[in-house]
Amino acid sequence: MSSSRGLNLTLKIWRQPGPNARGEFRTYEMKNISPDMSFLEMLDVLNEQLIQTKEEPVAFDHDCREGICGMCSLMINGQAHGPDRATTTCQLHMRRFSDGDTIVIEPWRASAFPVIRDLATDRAAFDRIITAGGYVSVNTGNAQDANCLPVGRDRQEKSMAAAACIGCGACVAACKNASAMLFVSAKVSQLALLPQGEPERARRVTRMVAQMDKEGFGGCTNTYECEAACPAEVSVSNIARLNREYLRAVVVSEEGV
Amino acid sequence: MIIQIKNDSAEKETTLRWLLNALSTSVGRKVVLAITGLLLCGFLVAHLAGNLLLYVGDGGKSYNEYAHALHEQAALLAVAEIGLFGLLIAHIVIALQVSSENRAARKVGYAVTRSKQEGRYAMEGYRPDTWMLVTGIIVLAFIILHLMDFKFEGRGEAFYKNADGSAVTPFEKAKNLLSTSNLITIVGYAVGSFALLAHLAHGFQSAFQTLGINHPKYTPLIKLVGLVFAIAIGVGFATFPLIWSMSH
Ligand code: HEM
Ligand code: SF4
Ligand code: FES
Repeated sequence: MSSSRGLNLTLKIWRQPGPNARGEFRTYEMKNISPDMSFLEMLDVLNEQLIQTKEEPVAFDHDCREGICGMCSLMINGQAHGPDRATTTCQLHMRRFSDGDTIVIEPWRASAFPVIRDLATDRAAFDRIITAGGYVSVNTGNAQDANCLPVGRDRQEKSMAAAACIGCGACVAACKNASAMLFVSAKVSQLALLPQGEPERARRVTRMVAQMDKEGFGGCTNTYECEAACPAEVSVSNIARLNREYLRAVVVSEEGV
Repeated sequence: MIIQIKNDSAEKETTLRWLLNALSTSVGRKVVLAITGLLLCGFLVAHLAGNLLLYVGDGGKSYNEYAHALHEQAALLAVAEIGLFGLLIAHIVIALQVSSENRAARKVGYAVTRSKQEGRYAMEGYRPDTWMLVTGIIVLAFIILHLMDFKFEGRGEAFYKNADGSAVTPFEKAKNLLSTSNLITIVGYAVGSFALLAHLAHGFQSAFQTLGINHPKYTPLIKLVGLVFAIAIGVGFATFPLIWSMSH
């Protein structure tokens, strides 16, 4: 690619050597960045430079780099996963930025997601919420012929749309209350909509909500910043379903006596 | 004897513990906030309807009759007042609790934040949904001023007594309190009414989502009704300090 198309950028990156260390923003000048690079590749280039100048490379989470694993994160100029909708940071391209831009990069900020180092946060709170109830205990055996399963197409679609959640935590990061309601509602909904999830429906929602509260996430004020930030486009109608499931569990079931 | 009382209360605690537990989770608390909020909305409709009698051009006859009829139902009024007070206190206590927990959920904030919902709101940064605590507190100040004015008659004899020492009619009382010379009330009521408009612009439709009602057929309607309701209530109450007061 021709160097004339390269971007010159100023990065302001949160640097924090450890969980309890004091952090600060540090500024890095990037020269001649290809617009065809992904955002994470751009950070790779930065880290190559830092290694050469004997500075600690920037820690950031990533794995699949194709939008399916939910490992990448980053608050980019105040937006979770950057400016695009339905896009993870690993799918974000540098062509979205202009020559001369300053880009502020921060970790997810939530009391329940403590910073491990620089831009990497500990999102194990999500795993503990799943452990509390986001599963089915029955042995479902081998996959049956799809046509044998008595699940209507619209239910399948809704369950599938909720199951698209990759557990990245952007919903928490974008929410003014650092609420995990979109994530939890996706995990509750994907099972509540299917017959396999039915037997543990009440227990699942009460335990997952209890764990969510215990982890120190905030509550939902129906501001819907989560939905706008979600790379999997999980809908806030799932949050209404979570509320419904919860009310049903409290009022109708014998769970929680 | 003492032991027995203790046993009784322990027994009671287990009978309702499941409910108290459920209502103290983040989801349960929001449900109480939504229900108390919606019940308060119901009261606002009745209150505004009564006040609109001020506009009947009969020198206050209808309004006075309405006020007298209301005050004759002493027992009913007492129950309603205690009920409303309870709703308001519950709403406020939970609102403060929820707000402080939400703040604690992000102890370290961002240097930069930018919404991804651009275009959804006319004025980014002045979205009613991010100002609920502020508009709620302004409404609370308005309610306190309003009760001082009308219920506890704490604004000075001149507002409530005729020259001969007899009590003024309800219509005269409203006229005295909402006179242009009583700026505290005029400004306070106008600001309070518009804060209520903003509070309800988000709150009304939000309460349905909290109660689990989100449906492609009804949610757009609920949002529209919520907005119309907020404007009707907010502007409706604001007309008393801003329009009615000028013409009396
Ligand atoms: C006439 C008086 C009031 C009415 C009709 C009213 C109505 C409502 C409604 C319908 C909601 C929505 C509940 C939900 O999101 O599920 C709400 C939320 C709220 N109210 Fe009120 N309210 C009133 C007074 C107050 C006062 C005095 C405060 C003061 C502290 C307050 C603070 C809040 C807060 C903080 C929320 C939560 C907002 C959120 O979750 O985003 N409200 N109110
Ligand atoms: S709901 Fe969306 S934003 Fe939240 S964790 Fe799942 S994929 Fe990420
Ligand atoms: S690295 Fe896997 S989703 Fe971005």
